[in-house]
Amino acid sequence: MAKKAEGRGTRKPGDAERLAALHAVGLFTELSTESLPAKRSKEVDALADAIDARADEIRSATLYRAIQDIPPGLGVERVLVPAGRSHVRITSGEHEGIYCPRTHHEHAELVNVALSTIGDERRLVALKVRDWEEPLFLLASAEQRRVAREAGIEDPWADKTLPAPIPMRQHLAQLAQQLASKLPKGCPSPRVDESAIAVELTKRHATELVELLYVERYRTASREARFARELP
Amino acid sequence: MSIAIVVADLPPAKSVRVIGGAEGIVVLDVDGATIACARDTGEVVAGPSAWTPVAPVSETDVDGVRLAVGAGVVRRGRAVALPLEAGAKAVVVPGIGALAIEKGETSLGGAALVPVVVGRAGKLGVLETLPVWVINDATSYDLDESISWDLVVEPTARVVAIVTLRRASWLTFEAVAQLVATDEDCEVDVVVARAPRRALAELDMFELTRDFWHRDAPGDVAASLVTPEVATRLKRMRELDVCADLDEDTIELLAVTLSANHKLGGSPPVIAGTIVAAHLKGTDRGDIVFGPSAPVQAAGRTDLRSFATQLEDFVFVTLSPDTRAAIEKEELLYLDPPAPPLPSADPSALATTIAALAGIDAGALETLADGDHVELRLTLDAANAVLEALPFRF
Repeated sequence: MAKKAEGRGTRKPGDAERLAALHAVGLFTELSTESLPAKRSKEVDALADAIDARADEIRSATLYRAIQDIPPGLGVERVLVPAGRSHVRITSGEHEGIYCPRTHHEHAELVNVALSTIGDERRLVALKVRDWEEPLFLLASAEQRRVAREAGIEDPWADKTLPAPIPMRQHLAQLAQQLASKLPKGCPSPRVDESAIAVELTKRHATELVELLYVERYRTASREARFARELP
Repeated sequence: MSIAIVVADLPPAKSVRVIGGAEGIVVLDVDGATIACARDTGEVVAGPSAWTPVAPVSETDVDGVRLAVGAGVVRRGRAVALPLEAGAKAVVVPGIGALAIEKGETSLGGAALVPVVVGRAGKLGVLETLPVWVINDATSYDLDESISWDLVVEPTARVVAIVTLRRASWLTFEAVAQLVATDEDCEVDVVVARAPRRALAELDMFELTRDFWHRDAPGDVAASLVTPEVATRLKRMRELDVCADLDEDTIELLAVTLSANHKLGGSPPVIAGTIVAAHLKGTDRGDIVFGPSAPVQAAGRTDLRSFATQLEDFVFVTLSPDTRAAIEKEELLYLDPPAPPLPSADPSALATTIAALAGIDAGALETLADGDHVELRLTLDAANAVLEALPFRF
C-alpha cells in the first residue's frame, strides 16, 4: 500500500525537507513545496528541475546560467583578468598563469581559484540541469555548498578540473604571430622574450601603425553608431 | 495635383528685377522701365495706380513656429531644417514656410534646379526639378549653369519669383502652400502659364509631370531629441565657450547627439550620430573636420553642412586644455584621444599615442630608440590591447 501511495502524482517524501534545508541557509526561498512539480520521473529530480526551470525568477541565490567570461560583481577582477579573446590570466597566488578555458565549468573553476586567491570563501557550484549545454552555477558559501550537496541539487558529474596553464612565453609567441599578421606590411616579425613582445618599427612603420590604429578606432565607432541608429 | 509656374510675358531684355507688387500684380523693372504683369497669367497689364516696393523677408511665423533663412541654412526655431549647399538659395514664404532651390541632377546626369519646400514641421517636400526654361535662354533640356538667377519673395503680390537677367517666372504663395501641405509622395503636373503668343489661345499652357517626394529634415531629428538634459548640457557648453567658432545649430547638434548616445545607454562612442570631439593639437584652421574613414587626411576639410546632414560623421573640436578638462569633468562631450602626431622621432610620444589609441596606460608600453628604429616592448596586456585595436588584414 505504501508503494502505491508513492506512485504517480504524489510527491516523494524528502522534497519538503530538502527545500527546507536550502531555505534555512537562505537559498531558493521563492520556491515552495507546493510549487514543485508533482509529476516526476526517475531521471529528473523535481527540486533541481524546479530550480533549473525558474532560475530567472530566483533572487535569493546568485545563479549564473553560464560562465563564459569573468562574472562582474564578484570582486575577482583584481586577480582574474582577460588576456585576449579566449584567454584569462590569474595574476597571483598558487595558480598564477595564463589559461584558455574551453567550457563553462573550466571558467567556473578559474573563478573559484580567483575567489580563493582573494580570500573569499564562496565558490561556484554546478547544479543539476536538464540540458547539459545550459549549465547553471550557484554562488555559495561553504555552508550553502554543503547543504546544496546534501539536498542533491549539485551536479555530481560536473567537471572540476582546472585547465592547464599555458607558459607565458608560449602564449606570447602565439600573440606575436597574430600581431605579425596585423602590423604594417614590411615590419619585421615581432620577437618574444620571457615577459614581452618586442616590435621593431621604422619611422614609416610607426606612422603606419598609428594610422591603422586611429582609423580602425573610428571605423569601429562608425559601425557602432550605425548599429545604434538601426536599433528599434 | 497641379501647380502653375507663371512666366512674365516680357519683351527681350538685358536686365529684369522684381521691384514690388500690388494685389494681383507683380511689378518689374525691365531695362529701367516699370512693367506690371498679371500675377496669374504673366501677361503685361496696365500699371496699378499704387504698388508696394518689394521688402526683404527673412523670417515668418507659421502657426507659432518661426521659420527663418540664415547664412547657409533654413531654420525652424533654432533647429536646422535645411542646410543650403553651395549654389542653393532659399526664401521665407510669409505664413506658409520656406522655399529653397537647390542644385541637382536630372536622371540623365544633366544639371538641374530642385525646388524644396519647408513647412512648419515634418519632412521636406522635394519637387523633382524646375523646368529648365525658367533659366535657359536657348532651348535645351540641360540647365544652362552660366546664367545667374535669384530667388525673390514679393509679399504684396504673394509670389516667389525666380529671376534671371532676362526673365522672371514665379510660383504663387498658394502653389507653395499646396506643396507644403502635401504629405504624400505623388506626381505633380507643373503647368506653365504664360501670356498668349497665338491669337486664339487664352493662355499658352503646357504641362510637365514632376515627381514630388519627401525627405527628412535634420532639424526634425534634432528637435525630437532636445530634452531638458540636452538643454542643460548645451547651456553649460556655451558657458564654457566651447566651440566658439561654431554656429549655434552645430553646437546644438553636438549636444543632441550626445544625448542620443546617453539615451541608448551605450558607452562612448556608441552614439546615434557619433560625435567625437578631439583636441587637435597644431590644427589652427577650421574647428570642424569630419571623417570617419580617414580622419587624419580629413583634417583639412571643413563642411558644416555635410555634418548637419550626416549625423554619424565625426566632429573634431579644438579645445583649450582648461575647456577640455571642464568638459571631461562634466561629461559634456565624449573626448577622443588626441589625433595621432605627424611622424615624430620621439619614442615616448609614439608610445603615448599608441597607448591612447589602444586604450591602455602609457606605462604599459616601453619604447627604445635606436637610430632610425623604435622598438616597442609590449607586455601581455599591452599586446592583447594592441592586437584587439588593430584591424584584420586580408
